Amino acid sequence: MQHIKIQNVSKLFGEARAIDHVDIVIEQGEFFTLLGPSGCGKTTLLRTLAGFYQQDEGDLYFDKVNINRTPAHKRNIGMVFQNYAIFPHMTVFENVAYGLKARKVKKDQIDIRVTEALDMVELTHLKDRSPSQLSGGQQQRVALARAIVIHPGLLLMDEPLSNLDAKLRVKMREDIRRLQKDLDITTIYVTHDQEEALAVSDRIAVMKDGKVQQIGRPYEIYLTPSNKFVASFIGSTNFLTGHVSDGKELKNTEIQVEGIQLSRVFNRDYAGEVIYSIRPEQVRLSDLKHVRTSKTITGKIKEASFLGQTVTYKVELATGTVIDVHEYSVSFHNLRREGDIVAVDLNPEQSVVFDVSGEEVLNECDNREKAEVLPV
Amino acid sequence: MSVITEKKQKSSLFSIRLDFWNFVTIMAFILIGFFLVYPLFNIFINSFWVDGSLTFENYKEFFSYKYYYSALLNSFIVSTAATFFACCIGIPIAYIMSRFNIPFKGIFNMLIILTLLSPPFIGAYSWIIMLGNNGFITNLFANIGIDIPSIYGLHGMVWVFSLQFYPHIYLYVSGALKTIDTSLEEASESLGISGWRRIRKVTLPLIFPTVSTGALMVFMASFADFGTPLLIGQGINVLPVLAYEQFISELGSNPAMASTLSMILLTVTTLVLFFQRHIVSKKTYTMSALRPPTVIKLSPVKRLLATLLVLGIVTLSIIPQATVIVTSFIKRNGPVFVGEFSLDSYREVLYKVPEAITNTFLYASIAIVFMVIAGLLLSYVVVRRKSKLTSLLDTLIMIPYVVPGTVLGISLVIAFNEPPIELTGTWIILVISYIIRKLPYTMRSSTAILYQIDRSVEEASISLGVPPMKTFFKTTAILMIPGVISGAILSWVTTINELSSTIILYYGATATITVSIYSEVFTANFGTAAALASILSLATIISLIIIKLLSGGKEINI
Ligand SMILES: Nc1ncnc2c1ncn2[C@@H]1O[C@H](COP(=O)(O)OP(=O)(O)OP(=O)(O)O)[C@@H](O)[C@H]1O
Ligand SMILES: [Mg+2]
Repeated sequence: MQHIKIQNVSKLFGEARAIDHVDIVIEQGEFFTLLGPSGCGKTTLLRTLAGFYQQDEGDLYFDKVNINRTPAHKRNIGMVFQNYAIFPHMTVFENVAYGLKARKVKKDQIDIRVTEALDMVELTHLKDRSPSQLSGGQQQRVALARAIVIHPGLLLMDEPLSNLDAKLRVKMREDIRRLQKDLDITTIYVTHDQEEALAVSDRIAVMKDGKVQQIGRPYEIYLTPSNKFVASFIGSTNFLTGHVSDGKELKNTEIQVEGIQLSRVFNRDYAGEVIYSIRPEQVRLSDLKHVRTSKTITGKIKEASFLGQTVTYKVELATGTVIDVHEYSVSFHNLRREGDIVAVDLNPEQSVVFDVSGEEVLNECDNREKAEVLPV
Repeated sequence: MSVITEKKQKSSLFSIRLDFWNFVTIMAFILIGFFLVYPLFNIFINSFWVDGSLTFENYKEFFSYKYYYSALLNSFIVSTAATFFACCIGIPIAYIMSRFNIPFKGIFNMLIILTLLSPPFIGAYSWIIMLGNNGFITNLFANIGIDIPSIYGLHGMVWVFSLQFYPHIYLYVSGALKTIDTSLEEASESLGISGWRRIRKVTLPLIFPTVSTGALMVFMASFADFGTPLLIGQGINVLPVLAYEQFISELGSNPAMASTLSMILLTVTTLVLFFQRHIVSKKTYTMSALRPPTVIKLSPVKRLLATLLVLGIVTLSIIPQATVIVTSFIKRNGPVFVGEFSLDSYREVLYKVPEAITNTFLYASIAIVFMVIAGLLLSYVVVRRKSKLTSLLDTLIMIPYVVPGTVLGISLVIAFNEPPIELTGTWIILVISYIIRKLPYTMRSSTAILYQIDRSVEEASISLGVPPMKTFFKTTAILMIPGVISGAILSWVTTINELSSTIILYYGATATITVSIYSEVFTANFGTAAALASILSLATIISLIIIKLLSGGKEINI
């Protein structure tokens, strides 16, 4: 229920910056996710918030109160660890009651609250078990109950589901999400599973090398990545090299890609090489006989894999470049075979154009306005 | 100005925690410095000090008199030979026990560990009962006209040490064999290397580092042992005995020669340790068995042969214990045994040296309390608060592994012989020596269990609102207890069986069981000696069973 402000925070291990000038504001009751490749500093940031590391720079505020100097045990944080960290020498009940006892809550109150928390995670029937007799999923539920029973101002979860199997992971993440909303607990969730992040988060911060790359709602991050790294890390995409010879005409900048001219609205004057990013499901294929314009390229299906709902193709363009294309498998008729020749439409309206370094988006983001009307 | 206060506040964030563990570290340094480093440094100085001036006279003397240097030579020959034979016995036994389906493994294993834990001089003493000049086996063979060599002499020491210490090799090698991934051995089979050649080319090189660690333990134990050579040396001197004799005869005067001998003992053990580390450092493979080897089912004949081999060795090494126990129940008429069951020896023990028994268990129990506390706190400091300082502490704690008991005893007496701190002759000095010498056992098992306890358990507790110190005692400390206790019991077992420093540090009223056995044997009271030794064995067996129960049937690490 707290409002969290992370202001210009850095943490160094020796010379290396594990987190580097991070600025994040998290709203009350928000489900906020840190997403990024291994070693990007997610755990470090979480542990700094929890008070297990002291930041070398910057400030932390919980509800406008600076907590830089508050020791870990006074931060009122619920934490769920990747390896559960259940107390092996206590029963399920005692595990959940632990934080309440530390807060000197009365015995009858403890009973009520623990039972309530165990109810929420559907573990009431196991309350007298020892943790060693629980499955991984059940242990994780105990950890969750233990963290929420103290009514924490902030709930931190570090890859809580990574030790569970795929099916259970999906169920657990839905449960976590529901609980979080019911209890209205501000939550920071760490994962490197992008699908998980997209499914549960209100907002996501994508990190790399200790720096925040982009913060936004799941669809914003997916549809309008702010740099090449984010585009490639979330979902998959094709990067094609393009060239802009005259960037003066912002409304209609001509990009030379794979031997054809595509036009895109640019947000600034730019000339030179660009990176043209288009998601595989945005590329449109059609039979060569039917369509052939100056805006399409000829391609040949190199590989086709049928995945049920979708079919993925590797398409070799006339220029020799191979791109990924995904299509829905709506009917027999639209299935393409290896060796088929197709017309490839690179769908410039849905593309994202980066400058040559991949750090800057050049196209005007019309999706952003659309995003506002989408439900949260 | 404001910058400074800012910094101060920052570092005070974890101040409670820092303070307590730093306090533990500092206390540990002070105590170890005072009771281990200072005494050792003291004898080091002493060995260069004659009549108030600095000199190499003592060392010159040592290397110019055969009386002295032959002791070093003898020690070296005995220890090297014992190490070699212990390897010859220990490796095959370990291989058979861990790879083949022989019966009674649990019992064999227990007996082998029991062999190791009982004091070597009891072994020596019962070999005298059997193979001494008047030993019953000697007499048996003499009656039918066969003269078997007497146990006395260098070969006798080698015999006793090999049978006493091969369990070190056995335990280390068994551990190593379990971590060899079978696929390595299978791979070599598929390359056409099989049977003996595979063992020689693949298995042995893989376990070499471990064998050498076991060998180091055997060498150290044989080199430092004091009781065995005293009993069966008979005119053949070894270093620890020489140091002891010099020390006893010089007590009160300038103990320079005893210090010199101690320094030489310490130098040799340290050099051997470095030598072993050096050869191992080039050949260490970290193995984690993805597929630990399976037990091979032998054909009935082979199985019988393998079982007989193990049974033979185990019997041979446990015979001394059995002899002692049997002897303790035999009726005597004066020094002569008559073949009847009786509890006379025990009655006599209770009448003659009851304090020895209470002393032994009292001192060992006081020591164990300190070792549990120290093991709990110091292993935490060493494992969880790693720094240059704490790894130095770790090294210091492990020093006693290379310090022979005799040397530690001598150094403690010399250091605390006169005011302001006069401890010589008190029970306190015995307890101090026990704690220093045996703490490494507790430390090892405490550290091992701590590595298995998840760090985040503590963090979970802290984030739930329990301050760090309280968290330690509510979580990690409780979880460490089984490991700490089983290590401490091992320390306890080796403490009650300790002779080499006790014999130097005890004083009339503070005599322990081992010292009493020693003096009873010397005054030819074999019955009481046997009864006392049996009491020790019983205590040892009970302790082993407790450790086994505590560790849930897992291997015992010594
Ligand atoms: N205690 C430490 N001492 C030194 N370096 C550390 C320490 N903890 C983390 N690091 C370094 O800081 C960087 C960030 O690590 P962190 O654990 O935060 O990554 P992460 O994003 O959580 O990765 P993962 O997804 O693998 O858990 C890494 O380069 C790591 O090597
Ligand atoms: Mg991490």
